[in-house]
Amino acid sequence: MIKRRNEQGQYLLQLTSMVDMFTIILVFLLKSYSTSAYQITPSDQITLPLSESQQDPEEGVKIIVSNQLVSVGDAVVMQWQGESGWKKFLHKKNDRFLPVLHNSLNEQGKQSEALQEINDKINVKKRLVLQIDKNTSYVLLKTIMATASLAGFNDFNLLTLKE
Amino acid sequence: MRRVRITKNPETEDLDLAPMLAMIVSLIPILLMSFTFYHTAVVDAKVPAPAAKATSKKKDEVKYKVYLQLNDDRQVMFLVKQKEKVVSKVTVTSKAGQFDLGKITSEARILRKKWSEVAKLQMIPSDGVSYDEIIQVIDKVKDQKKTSELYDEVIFSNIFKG
Repeated sequence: MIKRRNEQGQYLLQLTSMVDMFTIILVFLLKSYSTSAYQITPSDQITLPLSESQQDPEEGVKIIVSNQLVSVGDAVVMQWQGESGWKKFLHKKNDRFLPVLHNSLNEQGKQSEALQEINDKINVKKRLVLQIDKNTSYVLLKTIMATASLAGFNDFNLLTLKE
Repeated sequence: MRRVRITKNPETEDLDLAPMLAMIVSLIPILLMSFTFYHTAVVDAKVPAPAAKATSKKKDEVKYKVYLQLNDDRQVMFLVKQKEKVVSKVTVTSKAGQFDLGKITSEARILRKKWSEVAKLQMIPSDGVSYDEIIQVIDKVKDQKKTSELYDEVIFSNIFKG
């Protein structure tokens, strides 16, 4: 019978399994590595639609549209209950105009222009980045776009998830 | 009983994984910080400038305009207009109650080829069409790969009227 003895009595740490695990994690992370300068985290209140577009997001004023609220930046400007509850925010004489949203966008536009006055190198374009829930009806979307257009925003980036 | 002596071959050594592990452990936190859970993209869309605020009255050199009408019954109509007069009309019927995206793409290619000077598509969705469906249709008619086989720009032309 053959017996093997470790005369020093030390336990040798087995690193092979750990390196295997780290290598797999490393490969996975390398695959998901992003070098994009501008990152947008989608809101957890909405489900974005899928798209084949490969165009990266650019800097702009962020609007989140769900079936219960509209927020500009971090501020909630409109909140309602029910599917058509947002219609209470419409202007009495114009069914394509949301005064609350228009005011908020105007303020954002002024802030951007003020920034540009301070630093000429900042090239501020009046761009809106819209995060809209995929089940939103076109009525709300066109009302928001019409209002934003009246506030001077004509360039819209509709945020989607890459397919 | 015969004794068997096992001797270690002095030329074989265990592989030293410590430096490799050190490198991997350094890389993983860096990559974790730049890890993206969601890969987002944007669909560029334009709107017509409001008539009251149109700052430039550039002459519209394009004679023709191509419209894409999305109806509530998921039927699609391509309209080619020359100064509000309909020159061509193509209807794409729905497929299983949904927009027939394959047919929409093929018709868009045909129209783009026929009226190659028109690079913008005027979209007219109905109120009952959902945002998800609009995005799907835009994907199919917009030139993502810059091949000039489809349209460069999509404009929501009925946000003020219709």
